[in-house]
Amino acid sequence: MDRPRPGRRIRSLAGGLMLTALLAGCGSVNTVSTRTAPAEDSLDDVTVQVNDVLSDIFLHSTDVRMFRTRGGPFEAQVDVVNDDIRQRRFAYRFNWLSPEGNVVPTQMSVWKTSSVPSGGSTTLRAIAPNDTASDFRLEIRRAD
Amino acid sequence: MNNTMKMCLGTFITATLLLGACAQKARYIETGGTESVVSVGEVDIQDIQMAASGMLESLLETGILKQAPHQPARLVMDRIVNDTSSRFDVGDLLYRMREQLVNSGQAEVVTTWGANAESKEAQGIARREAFLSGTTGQESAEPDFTLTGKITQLKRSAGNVRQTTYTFRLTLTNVNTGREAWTKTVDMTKQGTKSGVGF
Repeated sequence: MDRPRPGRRIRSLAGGLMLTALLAGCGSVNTVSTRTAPAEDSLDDVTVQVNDVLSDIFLHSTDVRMFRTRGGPFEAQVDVVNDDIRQRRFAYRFNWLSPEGNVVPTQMSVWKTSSVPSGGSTTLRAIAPNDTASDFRLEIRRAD
Repeated sequence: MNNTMKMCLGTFITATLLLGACAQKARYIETGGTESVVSVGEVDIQDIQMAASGMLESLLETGILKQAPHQPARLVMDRIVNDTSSRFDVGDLLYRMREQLVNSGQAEVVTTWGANAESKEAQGIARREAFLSGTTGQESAEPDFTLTGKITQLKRSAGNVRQTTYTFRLTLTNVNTGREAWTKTVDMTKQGTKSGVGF
């Protein structure tokens, strides 16, 4: 049996590498935004804490915001970015706290799922169960 | 007993013991928690919980209940249609919403209104009181909104992979104007070849 010629081997190798690169690129998302300045309702200290939690599942947060909605209760928004080469799936749950620091029991505090493709981002949102709840606690669990 | 037979018997006993050890005993888990069973073609408890949460969040962020003439706002639960092949009680969704709204004082559910009143007993007593006092008896139970809705499904498959989207829709109608005051759609899509445990 003839051995493959070196030129042929190099071409096969290059083809293989291109195919791998294409397959890896298929699932990734490139994200761009017109907003460059931080949001007015950003909570910089909380972003650092959220990143401590997210880094365990190879994700990171770029911004955490909290503001009053039209109806009165606070809304929390956490921007999550996936810099990994794989899609990441996770479950999360927000718990809201009263001004005294007690957990407000509510039917709105349930586990939800999210998935972020490679290079992509998502925003986790939650609305407080009443007008007085002013802090939140975020739980995150890996789901893949 | 020759060596081959002894080996076969030994293997069989070991396999039986291993299988016995792997079998999962019944245990309590958090309702709707991340260890719950996820079914592709059925509505699961976590779907209902997520739908109720999404509906409540939308309802509170718009502040529509605060604009009602009565405070707390008065609601009448109208028809919610389950138009899916999954059998479950729509009350599982509604009672979660009611618990949040009524117990926190953000709304009241009128259970004595209309031909399909939820509490026939209370409706009977209210009618009797109204008759004795010479009033219509409806003033104290006049609703601000009615809640209607529908749950639908969209099933698709590719090879062995099945995908189902359950869509929960609710609408609040202002009874004074007859117009839609709030509406919300919550989608839940599940994909897989078979049911599994965990998110």
